[in-house]
Order: sequence, then C-alpha cells, then structure tokens
Amino acid sequence: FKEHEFKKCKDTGFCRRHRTKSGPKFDVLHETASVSGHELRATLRNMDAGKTFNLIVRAHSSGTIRLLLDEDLDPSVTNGTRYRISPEDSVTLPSFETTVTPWKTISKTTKDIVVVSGDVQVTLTFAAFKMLVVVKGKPALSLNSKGLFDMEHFRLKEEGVECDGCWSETFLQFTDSKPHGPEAMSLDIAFPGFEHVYGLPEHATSFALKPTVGGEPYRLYNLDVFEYLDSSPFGLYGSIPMMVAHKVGLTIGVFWLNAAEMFVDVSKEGSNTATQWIAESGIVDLFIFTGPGPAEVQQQYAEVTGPTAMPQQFSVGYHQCRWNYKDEADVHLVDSGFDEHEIPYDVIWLDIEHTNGKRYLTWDSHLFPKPIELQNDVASRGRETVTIVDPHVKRDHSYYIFQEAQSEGYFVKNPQGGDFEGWCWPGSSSYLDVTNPTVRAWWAQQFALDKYQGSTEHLYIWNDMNEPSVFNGPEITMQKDLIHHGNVEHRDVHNLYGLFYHMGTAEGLTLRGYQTHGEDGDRPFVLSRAFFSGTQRVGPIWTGDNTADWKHLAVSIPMLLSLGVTGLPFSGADVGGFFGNPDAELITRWNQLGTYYPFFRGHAHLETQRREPWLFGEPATSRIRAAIRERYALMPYIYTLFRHANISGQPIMRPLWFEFPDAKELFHVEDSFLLGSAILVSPVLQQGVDNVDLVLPKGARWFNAHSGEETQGAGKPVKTKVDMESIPVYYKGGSIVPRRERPRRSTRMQMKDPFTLIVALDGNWSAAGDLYLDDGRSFAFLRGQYTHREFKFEGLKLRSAVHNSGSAVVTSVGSWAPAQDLEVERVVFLGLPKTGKGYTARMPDGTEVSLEAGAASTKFSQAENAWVLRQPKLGVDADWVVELVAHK
Amino acid sequence: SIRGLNPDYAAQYSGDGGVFKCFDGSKVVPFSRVNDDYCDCPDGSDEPGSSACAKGRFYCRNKGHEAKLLSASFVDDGVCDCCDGTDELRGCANTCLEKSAGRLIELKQKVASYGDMLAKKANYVEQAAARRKEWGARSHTIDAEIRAKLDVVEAARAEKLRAEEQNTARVEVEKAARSAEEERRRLVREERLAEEERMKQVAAAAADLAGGNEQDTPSEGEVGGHVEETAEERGRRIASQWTTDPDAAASQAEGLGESEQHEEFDEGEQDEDEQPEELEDEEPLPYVQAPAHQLKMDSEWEDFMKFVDLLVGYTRRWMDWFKMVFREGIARDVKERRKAALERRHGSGPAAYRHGSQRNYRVQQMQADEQEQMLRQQQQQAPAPAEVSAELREATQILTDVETELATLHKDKSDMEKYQAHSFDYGPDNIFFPYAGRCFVDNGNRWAFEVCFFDKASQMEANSHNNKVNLGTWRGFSEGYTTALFDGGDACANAPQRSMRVYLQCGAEEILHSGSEPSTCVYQSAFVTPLACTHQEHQSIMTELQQLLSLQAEVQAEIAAAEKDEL
Repeated sequence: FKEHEFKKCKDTGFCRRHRTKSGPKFDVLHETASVSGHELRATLRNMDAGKTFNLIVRAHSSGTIRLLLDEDLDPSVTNGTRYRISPEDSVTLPSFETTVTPWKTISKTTKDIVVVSGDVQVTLTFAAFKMLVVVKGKPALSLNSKGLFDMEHFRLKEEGVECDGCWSETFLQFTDSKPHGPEAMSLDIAFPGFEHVYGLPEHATSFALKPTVGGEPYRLYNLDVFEYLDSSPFGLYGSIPMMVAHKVGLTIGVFWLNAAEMFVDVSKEGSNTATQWIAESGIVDLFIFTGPGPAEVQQQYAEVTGPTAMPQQFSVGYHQCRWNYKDEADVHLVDSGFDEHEIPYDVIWLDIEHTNGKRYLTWDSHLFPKPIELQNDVASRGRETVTIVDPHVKRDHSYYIFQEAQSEGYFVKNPQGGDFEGWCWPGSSSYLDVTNPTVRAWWAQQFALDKYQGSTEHLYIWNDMNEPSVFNGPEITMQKDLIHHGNVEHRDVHNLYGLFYHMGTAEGLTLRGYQTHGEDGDRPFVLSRAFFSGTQRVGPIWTGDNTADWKHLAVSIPMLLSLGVTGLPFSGADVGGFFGNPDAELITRWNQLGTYYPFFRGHAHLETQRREPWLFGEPATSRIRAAIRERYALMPYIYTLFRHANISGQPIMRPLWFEFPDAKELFHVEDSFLLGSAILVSPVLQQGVDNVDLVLPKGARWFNAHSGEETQGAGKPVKTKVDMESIPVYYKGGSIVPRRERPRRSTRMQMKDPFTLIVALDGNWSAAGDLYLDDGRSFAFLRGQYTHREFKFEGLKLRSAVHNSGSAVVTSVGSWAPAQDLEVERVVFLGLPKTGKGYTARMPDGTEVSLEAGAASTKFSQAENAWVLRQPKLGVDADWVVELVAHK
Repeated sequence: SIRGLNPDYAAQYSGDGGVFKCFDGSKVVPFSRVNDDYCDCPDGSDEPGSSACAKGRFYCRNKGHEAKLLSASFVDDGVCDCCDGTDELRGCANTCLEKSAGRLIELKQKVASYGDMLAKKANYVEQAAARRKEWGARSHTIDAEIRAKLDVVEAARAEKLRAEEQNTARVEVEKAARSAEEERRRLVREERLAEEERMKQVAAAAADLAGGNEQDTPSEGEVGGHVEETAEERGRRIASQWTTDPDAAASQAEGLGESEQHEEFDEGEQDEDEQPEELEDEEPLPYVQAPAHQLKMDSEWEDFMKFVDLLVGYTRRWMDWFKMVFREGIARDVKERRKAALERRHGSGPAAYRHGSQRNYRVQQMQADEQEQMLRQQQQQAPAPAEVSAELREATQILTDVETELATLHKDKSDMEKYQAHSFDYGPDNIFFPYAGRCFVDNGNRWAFEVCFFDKASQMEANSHNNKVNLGTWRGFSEGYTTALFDGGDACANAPQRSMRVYLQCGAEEILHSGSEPSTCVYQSAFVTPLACTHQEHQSIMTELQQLLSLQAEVQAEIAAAEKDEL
C-alpha cells in the first residue's frame, strides 16, 4: 500500500472546506413551504450569499422519504449545471418514481411544517433549515441538527477572491483544472438513539462504522488500491453511499444518490450517532428508508436501486482462478485435477495473460490455439470458463476494438477534446466512455459469438480494472476534468464508471443468450471489481486484491457484511488471498469460511506458488475437499437465498443482529455471521488456535451442523473447542434447510439429485423453510418456470406446500416441470422431544415407517437427537403431510 | 449381478442370511438395501452401484482396457467415465477396445524396438570407454593442435583484411553517395519532428492556460518543472507494482504479444521491416545466408552500424543534455536505480528494493526497446549496403570456418579438463560419460529448455536463445539414474532459487521434451534416451502386450458371441 499515492481529506479542497465546519446560514423561506400531493416543496436560501435552492421532500408507499435539493440556477451567471443521476441512467429503477404517496399536513406555522405519510412523520423547521424524521413515534433521523449543512452555489471566478481549492488544485504532479469552480455539498445527518451505523462500502475495516473524529473520514471514491491494508477508511474499488442505522426497535437507512467523490465522518455522542457527508459535485438526492426492521430497509433500498439479479446457478458454485492458467494444457491439468481429487468446481478462470498482448476479446494464439475446443471440453463435464475483459483498450490501430471505438468516437475525452490516453496493462490505452448508452450498446454487441472470436456459449466474463484503473493517472485513476458523453465531467460520474462498464458487458452476454438460446435466454454472468448502487442488478463483485494473511481473512467478513446490508449481497473475497503464499492452515481456514461466502472463488497472484486445493498435501486436501463439498451440499439452500435477494433485496450473508434485532449484545459482532436466517457461521480467524469465542444468540436453540448436538444460545462469547477439520457452524432452531448430499462434479451435475431436509426444531418443536428451483440458467423463471416450495413442521406434522412469497413482485405460482421428478431422499429431525422409544412416520399413502437414529451419509450418525426418515420418496413438487408419532 | 461391484469383494455381497454387513462393521442392514440408492453404511459399501454414498466406489471392469475404481459422485452424472460405459445407465458406448488400441500399438512398437534400444545402450558403454581413452591420449597433444590452428586463423584473417581493403576502396564512392542521400532524408525527418514538437508545445501552452493538465510528452512536463517522470514512466512503474519478477509471464506476454501482433495484424508492415528479404529481391548479399553473429564481421555492415550508432548517440546525447538542464538529478537517480536493479537481478539487492528496482528494470527495458525501435527505423531508411566481392565473401567464409574449428578445439580442451574421469558420477560403466559436455534443447513454443548434463540447466527464448535464465547447476542423478537434478539456479521472487528435475525415459533417440513449471520456479522435463532402457522394463512390457492381446481376443469373442445370440 502506497499511502502517499492517495488523497486524504486534507489533500482535497472540498473536504477541507467543509469538514466539521459550520456552513453559512440556510433558512427555509416559510412562505414557500407547501404540500402538493406527494411533494412537500420549499425554497432554501443561503442567507449570506443570497442564493436559493429548491427543496422537494417526497413520500413513497413503501416508507421511503426522498429529499431532493437542487440549485435555483440563473443561467446568465453560471458556467454549468449540476449533474444529476436520472432514472434514464439505469442506476435507479424508473418504477420507483411511480410509488409516490400523498403527504398529510398535520400543521403549518411560520416556524415549521409537519407532514405525515403512513408511520412516518417529517418536521421541516424553517429557521436554520432542519428536518426531523420520526417513525412510529420514535425519532429516526435529523438533518442539519449540528448546522454543518452547506451547498455551494455555482459562480464565476472572481480575481482576488480566495477560495481553497475551488478553481484548481494539485496533488502530487497532477493538477485538476476545475473549470466549473466549487459546487460541493455537506450533509449533516444525525441518528438519535442509534449507537451503531453500518454500510458505506467499500472499506477494509470494521462492520460497525467507527468514529472518525481526529482521523480520516470514510472515503467513497472507486480506486485500484495496490496491496490495500486490512484496516483503513480509504476508499477501495467500489462505492455505495448507503448507510444503515440500527437500534432496538428501529432500523433505518440513508442513501445519497450521488456518484462524485464523497467523504463521510462518523461521530458518537452518548447513544447518538452523527454523520457528515461531503460530496464534491452534483445534487442532493437523499433517500431515507424508514424500516422499521432490517429486512424492510433492504426491501426499500431494493425498490429504489433494484434487487439482486437471479444468478446463473453455476456461479454460486466454487470458482478456480489464477493469474494465470498459462495455456490449454494447464487448464486441462487443473480441470482434471478436480476430478482426480474428487473436488467439485464450476468455473475455470483465465486472467489477462490469455489475450493477445492484453487486447481483450482476443486470444494468445500460442498459449490458447483452440479456445473453442477447450471450453467445450470443460463444458462436457458440466463446467464453464470465464475470461477477463477490462475497459482499457490498447491503442493499436490494427486492433479491431480500438479501430471501431476510435473511429466512432467512443472513448473518454481529454479536456482538449481528443481521446484520453492512459496507461494500463497493454501500455498506452484509451477508455470506453460507457456512460454513453450508445457506447454500452455497441460494447454489448462485441460479445456475440460471431464477434468475440474463440468464444462459446459456455464462456462468461470478468470485468477488472473498471474503477477505472489508470496506472499513470492521479490516484491510479482518471483525472476529474476528463469529459464524458453529454459534456459531463469525470468528477460527476467517477463512481458510476465501473457500474456502466459492468452493465454494458452483462448486456452483451444477455444479448448473446437470446441469440443462442432464443426466448428464454441465458442469464449473464459478469464479475466486476468496481461497483456502485445498482450493481446488484448486474452481477457479483469481489473485494479485489487482498493478501494471504490472517488479517485479510478476518476483514473479509465485515467487508462482505457491509455489502450485504447495502444491497449488494453477491460478493466474495479471494479465497487464499491474492498476494502472497498462504500455508496449509490459512488456505484450509479460508476455504472453510469461503464455503459460506455468497461468491466463492480461489484466486492467486502471478508470482505465487500454485495453490489448487490439492497442492497442500494431506490432511489439507481432505479438509478443503470437505469445505467445498459442503458448499455444494448447501446449494439448494443458498440458491433459495438468492431468490429471496432477487424478490425482496434480502442479504445472503447477514449480521447476527439482522435476525436478532433486539439483542444489543450482537450489534458489534463481526467475526461471525448468518448465512440466510438458518445457518450461523463462526469461522476460525486466528492461526494455531484450538478454540474460538463463539457467540450464539439468546432465545434460540442451536444445532451443531457437524455433530447435530444442541447448544442453547448464551448471547455472549463462549470458549468453544475447534479442530482443523471444520469451523463452528450451527443450524438455528426453527429452520428447515434443504440440502443435496451427493458430491458431484459441478452444480449442473447436481440438478437431478434428491434432497435431504434438515428440520431443526425451535422451542415449540416447530420449524419452517423453503426451496426454490428453476433451470438455473435461463430467464424462463420470469415467465413462471420455477418451483418454490415451503416446508413447515408444526404439531409433529411436516407439510410441503407452495411457497407464498408475500411479495408484490411475484404474484403468480410458478411451475418448473423437471421438479416433478425430484424427490426428498431423507429428512433429518434435530431436537425432537426426547423419547426413549423413537418415532414412527405416517406417510401420505398411509404406510408407517420407523425413523432411524442417526444416518450414515449425513453428519449426524453419532447424534442422539437426530431422527432420520429414510428414503421417504416424497416428491419435492407435491403437497404432502408426514406425521410423526412417538412410540409409546 | 450387482452393479459397480468389485469382483474382489463378491463374497461380501453373497446375500447369505438376507443381510449385508457394512465393511467398516458399523451396521448390518437387510440385503435389499444394497444398491437401493440410499446410503446406509458410512463407508459407502452398501452402494457400490449408485451415487448415494459420498465415499462410495464404483468398479468398472473395463474389459480389454484397465479396470478402474470410480468415485460414486461420477456415477449417473451423464459423463462417461468408464470405457465400458457401465457408470451410466444409458448413453455410453463401450470404448475399451479403442482405448487400448493406442496402447497396443505403442506396446508393439516398443517391444519391437526395445532390443535395438538396449543394444544402443550397450554401445554407450563402449563409446564411454573409447572417449575416455581418446581424451587420455589427446590431453597431451591438444595444446599443440590449438597452436597450429591459431596460425591458420592468423593467416585467414590477414587474407580477409586484404580482400576487405580492396573491397572498401571499390565501394567508397558509392557509399559517399548513399551517405549524402541519408543525410538529406534525416534532415527532412528532423524538420518534420521539430514541426510536430512545435505544434505540441503550442497545444500544451494552450492547455496550461486552460488550467494546466498533466502532460504526456516528457519535454513539456519537464519544462513545466513539476513532472518527475513521464506519463508513460509512471504507467510502467505502477504496472510493475503488481509483478516483481522481470521474467514473469506478464512481461513476456507483453513482448511476445507485440511480435504476434505483427504476425496477425501487421503482415504488410513486417515485410517492410525485414530488410534482408527486401534486399534479396535485388541481389543476394553474402551475409544473408550467414548466421546472425557473423554479420558484424562484414566491414560494410560495421560501417553502416557505426553510422547508425552515431545517429542514435547524437539523439541520445541531445536528450541527455536536455535532461541535465531541466531535470537535474534525474539522470543520477536513474543510474542509481539501475545499479540497484542490477544488484537485485544478481540476487544481492535487499528485498525492500524489489518494487523500485523492478520499475527501473522496466524503464531500462523500455529504453532498450526504444533504441531498438529507432535502430529499426534507421535501418529501414538507410540505403542498401553495397555488394561485396566474391573474393571477400570467400575469405570471410574461410575465416569463419577456421575460427569455428579453433573454438571447437578450445571447447574440447575445457571439456577434457572439466569432465575428467572422476569429476562426476557417470553411472555404472560410466555409461553417461558420452553426455559430458553435451547439451540438449527442447523445442518449446516461447521458452526453450536446455539441459547440459554434469553442468547446468537453463531456459531461454526459443527463437533467439536470448535472455538465458539459470535453472540450476548439476546436482547429480537420483532414483537409480532415472532422474537428473539441477538446483541453486537464479533467484526467484517469493520462491526458492530455481531448480530443475529431468526424468529419464527409455527411447531410441535423445529427445528433451518440452519443459514445464509446475510450481513457481520449480521446473521439470522428460529426457528420452536409450540409457533409461532396462531389461526389466523390456520384460514387463512384453508381458503387458501378451495380456492385452489375450484380453482383446476375449472381448472380441464375447462381442461375437453376443451378436450370435441376437441372431
């Protein structure tokens, strides 16, 4: 990490101008405040400068409040307009705009106006502009309570007027010309009674955001940070300006739709948290999600920016990556290595060296002379291939992508109007201006099978370096005065660039899917490194170039939890650590944790020792095999979690408080997490330890996923023994978890296998769970080609019925024909009432079957409290009831 | 019959008493639970023929080929894993005979030639003895041989000099004309460059006025006084953060990618670049056929190169002067860093210098590339060197020949000193002695491996044999003379020093197979030699051939019987 290459607040004019400084006095002109339907409108005035701003506060039916604040510009005295992200930009969903709901005015005086919508009450105080949001009678959020609000107005440069970093500023050898002058904003957002706030990815730091007083604010600026540190507020590859505040009884969220560079300060005073958000340019477009619970906040955010796309099922499997699998022989060797060692995997990845001199969408003809045969061979065993495609385009007139893009004028421009040239892997490069929809559409066409030579329908894509990374640019990225489509400065769209590139690429694969498969096209799979709000609709991200050490292993959890609560759950950290060489213990522990990452990929730097899962010798190979196989066993459960993310924006990897929102003692826990609501994972994050501090939330029964043994939740750390074979994982009582126990080569090879249901009972001997199935690859599910089942155990009866999503998005009942041939081969009951004599199951056809104690091929053979229904031959797609009767 | 059952365990699946006992003794289950697609035994023994047990093993008989124990996870997954097709209920043809056909041919050929190979091996013992005898005698005469050859070389050199002088005089006039032409072209070029430079400066000045942006061209940045490195240098430096090893694939790929680009995209351009071809069209020059290293011996060429050097030197000096004026200290800095880079490459630099020195390695590379590129440009524009006389051609050839002979004598001498009778373990009967002083090179695509027994192993660019990397020095044989080890090679970033292991395989001719790097800086390759042939192997392949032939007959009979049944 080269700290001096990157800016801090003190190196940044707009941050220096605003941080912790009270702004000028802003008043709401009380005579302008009026309510019209869903809008509360008013004029805000900078009393010192005499400039006015238009304030709009909208109510939305889901409980979201939107605050818009734009400058009342006089075109005759300004040299520009404020950039705003509009629904046409595909960042937010246009459908959200239609969910507005009317305000009810409670009172209006010359001092303030009070309006209500549903459970939410908003008070706008006119003098010194303040806004208070109250949810169900509880204060949720206040705006400008500390008087830090400021919004700089557009102006023309005046000679002799001092303005710190307003008209030009220099960092290292780079000068930012700032032709439009100052236009920064500072928002002062306080959370009364909230001790904890979360979110604001991407930073390699704690999950609960720490106070930044006296240190650096959290920075949101997408950057390619070489060898990033494991504990730092520096902005990494992606940005989501979304924060979640949680306290007992209320969870709320704040999202500022703004893609400019941003700094966020967090301070704590007693049980209150105050924040200051400073952005360089654009407008205030602030969404306040009023919950009241964690799940509702996620749903509200998803309503604005869209829920997670339903992934290709193969992409939920294990991915094997390396910079670089050298040639076709190497790929064959690795591919057959997985079979030889009986380890499942789904995707083999090719990094930059597979190309002809870093010209993406081409192949090195010496190393990969037969790419189509290669992909088809890998696919013949149910697996896929991924190649890397980056946004920098080698400036080479004989390279067709460069030729076309240059002649069409598709590159980002320098301030003089010429094509910007930066340096990246291929040397001198230009960068596609993907903020332009025309460029994205052209880019998408490049992925057609007849365009991308050497590609097949089994080839998917990896977008790296899309922050964008510019090796010879300021902070390894573009200078802010470059020009994008529509004469927009790079400073306005910097954090969006990666999303747009990702979007264009994914659109390419979607088009290819329709071309190849017709009506029910193939879903795209594109991994990205840079991200912004909305990326979840496009594809997964990973946390970039981490390092093979224990600290990076540990920090991956808060990093992924932060992404989970800011609507981007399909994410993972490179297993093993990108830089450096993990030893057998670290790689084992990392795989044991990676099993539960939403995105599970092993990756390594060019100069590291080879580290395919079988290269660490026994017993490491067997342990890693067990970890990866467990991932595949959980595939039905995890894929079902993806469906919930897809329907209602729910995270996959969740903080403990997400499921136990009233347990204060869990609000700071970030070394363990829940996978969905049913599985608690407490990984081993330290070298050479034989115990961990296991926190099992109070008020639930917990069943050890390896032994079936039951433990009562203590709600505080309990020293628990661990060995190298596994990490502590528990089923939460009250859950039904569908599994597929047969180890297969890949997810595709599991598609016909029967299911095992783990029925882990709560204190009332009840449990519930669901199972979502579809073809795993096409968009057919959108027209109802899916099966979503619900399993409930109550009063000793296990029922299978159609799942009712309870979502407005999914109104019809799906039906996926192949599900009719799928069966439940085993039901494992954990925590049934103790009986010395066992149980009989009364089957739907009237026959009676005795439950067996334990079962061979599940992990519960030694557990006394596991009762197994053997081979019930129950159709997974059928309605049925199985009743248990205790032997007398 | 029980699907997937290993015949060795048939007794345990007799069904006696109507029960089945798990192999691990953990359970006794009704025999009906064998292969009922549900896993009862933790060891998987109740399900030899289904995918139900994670630990299950499926036995493919693969008659006619090789029997195989398959993981249960591959059973009924749609992939044909057993050549007899039994691991899938449908969709797999029996391919065992085809599978073994290749092996059968291989075995037949090997059996047929094995006698010869063993004879060849025996011959090596004689060769070894003869060579040792020859060396013994020659060690007394070699110095005299060298002295005699030196006289011959001297005479040849004088003869060539004479021919050269004559030739030089003959072409002088012609050359002067060409120089004038070249000078004219240069002036035109310079004028154009200067014009471009002026345009850039105007543009830069305009940009400066507009707020001062980062400049791409070094001179402008330097004039501005706030740029410490050019945009390109910075780009290269940041790129080099990611890799520390100058030999890393990244840099290789980059370089080679360029050449491929020419192949694939720039064919026309490349033809222009290749001067010799162009010249050939007019009239062949003597050095067209001569190996590259001899080109320098041609005085005409030398003159031409001097001219080019002068040009390059002039440009570089001008650049240096420019740097001295505007970037004091930079030159010194670069020099120091180059030194550090060099030290590191020789393994003496401290680890902390890696990133920095790597960068400078890249900078050096870049400068070297630039130089080369410039050279190429100049070559392109320079007029063709004049024809040389037949006399000079002949004299040159003679000198080359005798110098080669002298070099051979010198090598013989040093080999004789190095590989004395007891310097190394040459194996039983000194059978490997004939390999002393010999090197074998594989034909890798990009990187060739070179193995010199009793000396060292290296890797180098396949086409040019440049950029040699030492993969280790001779460490000796191991595992009964079936493996040769080299270690302590060039240092590696984040990895042990390079080492190489060469596996010896029986075959008629010496062939070094293409090497690989299974783990970073650990290399391996196979070397085919008659010396790896043994009587035991001869026996065992004969047995294998017999068995395979009888199996084939058996399977064919079975297939025939089945066909008959159908009729």
